[in-house]
Amino acid sequence: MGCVVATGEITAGAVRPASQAWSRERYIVSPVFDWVFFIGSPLLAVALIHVAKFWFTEAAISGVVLTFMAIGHHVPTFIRAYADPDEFARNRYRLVVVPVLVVGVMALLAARSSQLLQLIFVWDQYHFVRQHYGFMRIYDAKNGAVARSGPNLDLWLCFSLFAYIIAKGDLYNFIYAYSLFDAGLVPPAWLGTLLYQVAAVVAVAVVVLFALDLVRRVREGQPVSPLKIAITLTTYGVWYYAYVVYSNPFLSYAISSFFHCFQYDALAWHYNRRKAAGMQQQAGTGVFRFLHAARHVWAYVLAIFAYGFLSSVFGAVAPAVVFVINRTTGVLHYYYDSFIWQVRSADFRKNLG
Amino acid sequence: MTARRWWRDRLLPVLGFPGLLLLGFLVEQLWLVPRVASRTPEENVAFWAVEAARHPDFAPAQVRLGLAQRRAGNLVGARQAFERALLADPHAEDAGIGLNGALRDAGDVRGAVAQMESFLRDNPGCLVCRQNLASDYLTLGRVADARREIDVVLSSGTPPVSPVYGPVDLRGSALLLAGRVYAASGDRQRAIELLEEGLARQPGDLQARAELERLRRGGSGGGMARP
Repeated sequence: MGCVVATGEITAGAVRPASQAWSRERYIVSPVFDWVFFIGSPLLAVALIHVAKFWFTEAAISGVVLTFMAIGHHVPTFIRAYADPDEFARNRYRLVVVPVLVVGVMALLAARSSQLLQLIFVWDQYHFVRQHYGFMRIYDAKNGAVARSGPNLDLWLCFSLFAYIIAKGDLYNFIYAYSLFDAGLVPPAWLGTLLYQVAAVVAVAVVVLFALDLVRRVREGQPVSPLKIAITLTTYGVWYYAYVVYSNPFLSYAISSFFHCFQYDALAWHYNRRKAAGMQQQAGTGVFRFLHAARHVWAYVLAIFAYGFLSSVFGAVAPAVVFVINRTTGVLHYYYDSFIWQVRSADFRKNLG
Repeated sequence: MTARRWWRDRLLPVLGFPGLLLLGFLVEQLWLVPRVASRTPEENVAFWAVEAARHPDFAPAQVRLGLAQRRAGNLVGARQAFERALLADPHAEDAGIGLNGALRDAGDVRGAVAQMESFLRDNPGCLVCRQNLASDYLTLGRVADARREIDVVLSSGTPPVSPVYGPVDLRGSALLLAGRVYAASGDRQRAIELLEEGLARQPGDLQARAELERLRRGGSGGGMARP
């Protein structure tokens, strides 16, 4: 696999002197933007949610985060999928047929009080980890760090650490236990302990391998992204805090969801803004260009909050209908994300800057 | 385009994902739902006893054990589990509500009221607690107290659909209870309005519908407890 250098040119994988290995701090947008919206956002989420506790109940804070951020952040996915003519043309059949079928299935699941609606949270967690892995890939690409062993080790690091955190903390242990039990599966009592032990051993092994690989790459003068390391430390540090140390039924997920959405909305805006800037003025691009013009950032934020707000308002009138719509957009958000954001795509890297 | 490529490039991306969801649903309905239905309350208790022992300081696990005990009719065990949950987290609303229910099920409505009043002093934002307290007051014939509590619930700006409990319409059940409270307090017209509004949201509540019919016919309403 080639690597991306500053000009967007694909090379075969440059090797640099060791002194340069740590020197290429290339940001996705800018130092301030990256630290606020991407790297520092997990810490920001912890701070904001703890400050909010002075004035609001835990349930209220959780409700606001779920409504305005978790539900709201489905909007950028739909903007990208449907308002970007290139993306829509690339996936026309999927983007037209799948929502119609999925909304029907979701209505069926809701009508039958299916536990699958609860089990979808497994995908939610997978989706969080994949987003973090995406950031690692982007920072690597930005720094020209594409050693062959890199991406796979990154992926192992992402999932092994997350599995360890999930297995160690009370909160997700409990959530998995009741979700599986309510769905009709009874995990044996020893399984949780075994999974925790296996997850711990694998996580330690992967961290050691990752560290050794890092040392090797620095020694060989291969570029290493300090920002990738930084975002991994803040993200996993906060996940460990939220799920293991804090383990709060209302706020642990709210912390995680807050920074996931914050990062997602910001990255989508940055990417789409660059994409919109390069678009010709032609029919079908107006909404996309309007929402992503720098002076219209308010419209983008408003669109995100509006979906949450409308869900809340109409949820009072027709809760079951709004529930099905929210679950449908949630599931489609996970599904669409698996093909509309591809770091390996040259087009994606070009628009990322 | 070959049939294989057509399947891979066109059909699979379109039908694969919804098909997978549908397959999951079928597996659940045909295999898992019957398993859940055939579980005994004792099996539920056994499972949650193990989980609660694994997470002794995690309130939600204790709450699930309390709920399982309550359904199995072991009200002492339920009460102990809810009390452990409250020790782990004094703000656990589920635990406060569960303990209140266990006390009421045991016939100790006065104890349930005292417990809920105490819980609400520390957790004044718990509207479900307030609604349950209103219901308990109504059971005890303390109509003015019930009316005070349900008025607080109705005037609150809390989302009518709880984000915590999924698509549960808390507003609907509050309106129906309010209708009963107002009927018991003799405000027949307001009671009819509240019950109508509540039934518009929860049309399946046959008990409330019967009460509404009684009120429309000029009856005073049954003053029934919790919806």
